[in-house]
Amino acid sequence: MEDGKRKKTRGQSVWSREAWLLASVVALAAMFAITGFAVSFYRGKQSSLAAMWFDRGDAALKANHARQAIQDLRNALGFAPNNSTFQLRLAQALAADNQIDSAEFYLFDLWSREPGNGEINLELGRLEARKGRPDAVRYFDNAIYGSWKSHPIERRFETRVELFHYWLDRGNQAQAQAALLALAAETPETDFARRTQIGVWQMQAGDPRHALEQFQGALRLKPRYEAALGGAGAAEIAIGQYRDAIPYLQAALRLNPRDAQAAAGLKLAQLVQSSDPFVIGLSPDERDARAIDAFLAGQANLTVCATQQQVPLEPGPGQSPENAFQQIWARGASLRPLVTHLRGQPQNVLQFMTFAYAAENLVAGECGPLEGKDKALWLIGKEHRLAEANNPPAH
Amino acid sequence: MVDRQGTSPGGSEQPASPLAALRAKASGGVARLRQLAGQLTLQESYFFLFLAIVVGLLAGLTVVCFHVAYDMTRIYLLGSALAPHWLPTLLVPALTGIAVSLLVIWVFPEVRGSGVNQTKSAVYISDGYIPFRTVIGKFIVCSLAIGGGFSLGPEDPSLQIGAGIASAMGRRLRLSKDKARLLAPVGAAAGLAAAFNAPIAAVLFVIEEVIGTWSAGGLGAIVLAAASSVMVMRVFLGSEPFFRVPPYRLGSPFELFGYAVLGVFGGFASLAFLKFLAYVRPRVRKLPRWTLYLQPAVAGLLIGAIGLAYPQVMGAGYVYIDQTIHGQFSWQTMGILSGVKIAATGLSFVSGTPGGLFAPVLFIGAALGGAIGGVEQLFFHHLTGSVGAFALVGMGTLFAGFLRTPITSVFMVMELSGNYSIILPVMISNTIAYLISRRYQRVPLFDLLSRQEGIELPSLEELREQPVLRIEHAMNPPSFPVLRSDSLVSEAMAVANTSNARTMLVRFPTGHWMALQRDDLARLAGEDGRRLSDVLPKDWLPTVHPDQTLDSAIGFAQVRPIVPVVSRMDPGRLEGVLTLEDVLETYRDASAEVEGGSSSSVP
Repeated sequence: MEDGKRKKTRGQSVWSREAWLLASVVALAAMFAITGFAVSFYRGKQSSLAAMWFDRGDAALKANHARQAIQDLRNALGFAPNNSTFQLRLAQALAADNQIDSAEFYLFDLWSREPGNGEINLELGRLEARKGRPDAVRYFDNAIYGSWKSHPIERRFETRVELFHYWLDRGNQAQAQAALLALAAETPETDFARRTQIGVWQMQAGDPRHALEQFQGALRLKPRYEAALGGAGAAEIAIGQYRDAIPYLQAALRLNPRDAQAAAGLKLAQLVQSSDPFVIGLSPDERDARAIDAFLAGQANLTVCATQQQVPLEPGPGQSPENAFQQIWARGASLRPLVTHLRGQPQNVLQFMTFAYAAENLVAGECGPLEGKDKALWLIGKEHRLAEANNPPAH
Repeated sequence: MVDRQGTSPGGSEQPASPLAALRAKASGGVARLRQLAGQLTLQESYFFLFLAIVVGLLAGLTVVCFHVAYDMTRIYLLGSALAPHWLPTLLVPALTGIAVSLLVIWVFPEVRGSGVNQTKSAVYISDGYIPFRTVIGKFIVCSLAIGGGFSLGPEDPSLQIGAGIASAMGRRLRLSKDKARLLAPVGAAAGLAAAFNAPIAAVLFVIEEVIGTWSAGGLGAIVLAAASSVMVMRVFLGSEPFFRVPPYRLGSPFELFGYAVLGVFGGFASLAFLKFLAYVRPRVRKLPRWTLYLQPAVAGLLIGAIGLAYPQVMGAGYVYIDQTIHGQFSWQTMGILSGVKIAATGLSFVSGTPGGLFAPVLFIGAALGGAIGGVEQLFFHHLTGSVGAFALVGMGTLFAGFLRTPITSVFMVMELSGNYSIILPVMISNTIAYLISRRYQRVPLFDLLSRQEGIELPSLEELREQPVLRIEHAMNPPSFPVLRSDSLVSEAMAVANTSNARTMLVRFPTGHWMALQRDDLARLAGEDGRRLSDVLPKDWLPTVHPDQTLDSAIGFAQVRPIVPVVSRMDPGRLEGVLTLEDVLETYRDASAEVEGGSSSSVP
């Protein structure tokens, strides 16, 4: 009985306590509702303010006002500190303001969370490239093979182009050419404009043969495409196929007579064609005439350049030639008696042209770029490798 | 009337009228409800744990609302830009100061002062009692102060808000004094955890600074409350860490020297801040009473003036900590920011404006760390880590040096950043800063503040560092024969005759020990041929070990003339003996040394 009474007393007391606890749980539910309402209002306010500051910052960045953009984007991040779009844009603004280290911090942070994000990798690649770090290539590659939220094909194309420029700026033509080959492989066959653009870059990277393929590919799709015609002509000249360059350049000029580049290219190609004594099918007289012309032009240009440089072409009495001018001039002097005896002696034509190339090459090195016929002669010599050996020309 | 079984008297009879039937049904329902409630009765320990969860959830929700309140106040008062227009920058803190002083003087006088100390006072002085009015006051006044640009943080008020909620619940549930005293720190941990988004650091802080002991019963409740409050906070405000930290990797062990240098600077910066508070606060408190109306306003005006040049010092400054970690400032700017933030926070605090010091301390630490890191990078680029890593370590360094909670500071940095690889630099830097601060400022911050307010709360740092007296300090080698239990009585007598001791020890092969009085041995004279083990009653002595605390041996020493101190490896090997006199003498010596000012050596 006593025990029962004690139990009852204890039970009632505990009941009261648990009741209060249950009431607290009810209060908790009410508190959850109040907090939810407050936070929802707060979140809404934060979102609208963040969006407002981001829009301002984005606009400022597009208007090249990097400082203002940084301020605005920092304000935006104050309301949405984990928004990766805001962080990326701030990093871009910081990079635009040359705050490379600060930009890098944000980008590394973003990268640690999304290592496969193409845009972040591209930005990091750009920053590392600006710092001249080899890591840039890794980030560019990551960007090429990474994920892109929108327009992935275009963005990957742009990234490859940036990688190409990175190599080109560092004078690494082999890597630049490789980047362009990869770019070409991913470019649709039907996209003539992009193929032409790739051809132009390949020309810049010193790869005229692949460039020619791109231009020709573009012309198959659109034969009257001026850029591709001009590019193909230039590529043919770079390869040394002057005769093949002429129709491309003529076609380009027909489409746009004011295309100065095509006009210059055509003039050069025609000059080379008309000056080259090794062209197949020439009569012996014509070949001799061209060789003599080349010889005389080389001598004349050498004389002009030596005068400019105030270098005497004749060595002093009893002295042997001392410098390149005198050596080449002496070679020319030894060839002069042959001018009247060229017919029937092709070896002499080769000697004349070798002299002309040597003279033009020296002038190009000492007195600046060549023009007109002199350039044509230099190109002919280069094409036939006259500096290397006195082999007969290939055609 | 309804009995405990839920049956009404005469329940089987037919009711006389529909009304009576309704009444009978209603009382039956109530009875069943009560029966159900009775079945829900929880055991005391489970009840307390469940209560801790409820407290944690409530504290978490309140802190979320508090966060919303002070941030919205900032937006409405100062605008949404990080660098507000010059006019509100200058005027808003001053006007807020006036409002704060009026509220503190007329409406919520109890909100003045440190929330940590008020919670400690509640635990040690008023059985865990914190008026609920304090919760409301802290919420309103601190929202206004932090949102109005005062350089204060939300953590300290959150801690007290949590403690206040817990205290109110404890009173409502009529908890025992012990439980009510324990519930306040439970709420404090919940509040702090939600404010910091760092449950481990909050638990450690409450144990390091509020309770001072690792009590298993309390620990479970504290952890539960902290976890539930952080859960609520993360549901509403997101689970991302406060700061996004770039990947950190220790490149070379030599980098640690750089962090050691940071520890030195951090230690002296903490010291400067502490000395500022120690010097200025008592003097401000002595000013005439009417100046209380002006103190926050004047402080607000000065903070506004600083804010014109360095708006980063206004408010809690979490956004700027993030920017510092991301290397957004030059080292010169970060150096200046650490200095002006000390000034702004010092002004805010000594003016009596309620608010916390945690966030400003983190800001100062981050800025100082960033500045030191920047300088070191300038001169030793190949040796040092990133500026962000220095800023992160700097936060913990200042926390350890200023608040003097070394363990909390390490865990806090890891939790806030979500980065665990930085622990080694943090430990090195924090320890150096802590030691420097402790060397030149004997009284820690919270003790200093409570003493300035005329309250003598237990110094938990002193308690932590008080030398522990152990049995090895009091024990002595036995000055009497030790007999073996397999000895014959005659042999024992012969051995006893070689000494004058009144008490001897008998060792048993089982590792047990017995005390044998000389008189008792004499009474065994007729049993010379028998072994001691056969004739002695098995009244084993309690044994102790040399590494046990002296406190644990007092009980034994009081009831036994002698207590054997035995090896832990071999209970049969006697290391020494302990008597009540030895224990008391050791305590006397220790007290004398403490009074003599030498508290660090162990007797």
